[in-house]
Amino acid sequence: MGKYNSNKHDKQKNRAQAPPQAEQTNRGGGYLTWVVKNVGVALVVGFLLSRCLEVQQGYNWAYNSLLKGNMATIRANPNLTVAQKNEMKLGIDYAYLQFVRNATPEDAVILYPSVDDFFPEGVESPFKHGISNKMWGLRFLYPRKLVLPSEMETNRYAGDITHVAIVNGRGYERLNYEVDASVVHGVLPVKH
Amino acid sequence: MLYSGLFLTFASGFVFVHCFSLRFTLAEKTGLAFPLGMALECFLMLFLDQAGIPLTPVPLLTVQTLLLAGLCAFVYFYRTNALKSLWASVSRPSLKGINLVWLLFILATAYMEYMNLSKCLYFPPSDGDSLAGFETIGYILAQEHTLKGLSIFDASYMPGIHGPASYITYAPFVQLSYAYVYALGAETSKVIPGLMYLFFLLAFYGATSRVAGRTGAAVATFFMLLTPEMLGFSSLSMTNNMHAVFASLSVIYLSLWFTKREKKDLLLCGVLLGGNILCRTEGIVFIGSVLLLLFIDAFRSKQYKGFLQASLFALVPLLVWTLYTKLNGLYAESIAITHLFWDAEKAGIITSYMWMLYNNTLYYGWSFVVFLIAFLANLWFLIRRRDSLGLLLAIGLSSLFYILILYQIDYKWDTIDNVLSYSAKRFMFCFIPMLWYFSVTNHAVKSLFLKLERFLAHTSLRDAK
Repeated sequence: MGKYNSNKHDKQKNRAQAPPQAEQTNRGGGYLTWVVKNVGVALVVGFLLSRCLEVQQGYNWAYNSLLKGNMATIRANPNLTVAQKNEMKLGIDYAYLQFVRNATPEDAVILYPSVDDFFPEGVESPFKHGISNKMWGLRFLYPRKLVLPSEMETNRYAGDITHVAIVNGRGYERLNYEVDASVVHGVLPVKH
Repeated sequence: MLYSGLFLTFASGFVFVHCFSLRFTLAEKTGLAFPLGMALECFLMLFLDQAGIPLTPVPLLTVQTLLLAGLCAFVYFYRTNALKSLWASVSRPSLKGINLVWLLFILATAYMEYMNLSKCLYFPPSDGDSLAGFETIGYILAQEHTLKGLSIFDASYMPGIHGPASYITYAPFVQLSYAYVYALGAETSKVIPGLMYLFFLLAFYGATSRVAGRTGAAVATFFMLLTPEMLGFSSLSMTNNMHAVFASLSVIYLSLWFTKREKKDLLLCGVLLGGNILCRTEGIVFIGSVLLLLFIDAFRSKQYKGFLQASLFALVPLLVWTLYTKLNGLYAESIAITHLFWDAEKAGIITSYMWMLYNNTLYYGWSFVVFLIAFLANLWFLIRRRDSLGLLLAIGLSSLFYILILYQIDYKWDTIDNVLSYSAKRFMFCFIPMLWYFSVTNHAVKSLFLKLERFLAHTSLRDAK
């Protein structure tokens, strides 16, 4: 009994002393298990994720075209100015508005082409975006004032027009003088 | 000057969140800081403009500095230990729930958002709808220093200005925030949508992790970010994603209120609803559904104070904006049909378009599919415990109200097909974060994520608080 007690006491003593070592072993084993479990599950999840980006058409487009495609463009053209980027995105629409902007003073009142002038029926127009919208045009021409042909009766600036915008060879008839109509896109002053 | 303005915006929003409670997570506080700071600034710009003060850099930065000082004073006097609490959350971040799967999704999200933000900041605004509206209004506003007196709001210069669906009645958040950065010297306004989305991801992650744990929140944030159409629009200068930030977070905080019954979530839900209506007029559907649910909840518990406070936060911006438009003659021909009617063909078109959108995995990835699976998996807990019932009702009611609005519109400025194909498609962005939030926070899925976290956690962190 005594021996037993003594043994028990020793065991208890040993057990009491054991934790630091056991914890050490446990922690070592614990970390290894933790790493194995995490790496294993992360590899499986990573594989599924990459498959998902390949298989699902929408995610594939978002990752490969939208994100990676645009990053490639950005990396290839890191030092473009805002104007150059605008031209890259908006093409000739922006180039034309920049031309008009450079060719007219800030206080100009421009007779702006109509939708039909920008996109004549049956004719391939070089313009692709929303340039025929007056607000759209104003974003790049402000503080110049724009008057549409349809607003000649209602727009307060209709009597103050200083320039006429020409697109697709249209708009010459709105000038108050004769001119060689060979220029397809341009802007011409009105004679006062 | 631009960086000072952006910092002030962030700081005002950050301190503003602390006015409600110090107990939001750091991710929530940081994530909400920019959207709420910008909403506050835009709200103040309306008052400045009404008072005839030009919206130039000096008044803008002065009023924001004063706002920040006022908010700091409120936190100092009414929230004890604010700095201590903030320091504690920064210096002793909890490691619970950290595992390699979480890290994988966080890194993937960060990488994708890095590319998305780079794209957003690199390209100037080029989307047609924005150039024909918000972007141009913001740009000209920054030159003319006024919203109510804008030259492009003058009918003698823009004869169609009071026509149906005219830009004169657009809710003010986007154009005012663009004007703010243009006035402070920005070359393009894209810093606004870029930062709004970046901070939104953080706020969404923070709010979701409070219920679903870190791993569930990381997975939801990743897939929400990757939603193809939403990701595409997040780097454009359109209103839809910014609206989705406020609308979805307001419903998520409503759900947090129902789950945790912490007053801070209820008040924040109200504030976000207010931001939502400053973004887009259709935001009224979220105000309607959320306030209705809050009212039912208050009626059942006979406790109306919280409901009234949240309603106040939600409705004041709407009232101020409505008053502002009335005082300044900013009106357009109505497109609403105010009497009830039945048009089977119109109802059929709307239903079929909406159904097509719900099924479109090219636009929304697996958002609706995963939501449906999660819904079915959680059906037992929904029936037995009413788990996530409030959230589901908010999603369902908001969708229903939106469909009703689509039905009650007189499509005299555009075709119904165009509106459904483009506007409705983008309106769905508001629901995507809600769907992902539900998909990982319902009891069935949440339990799986928490089990996964326990399985992957190190023993020393498993029971950590």
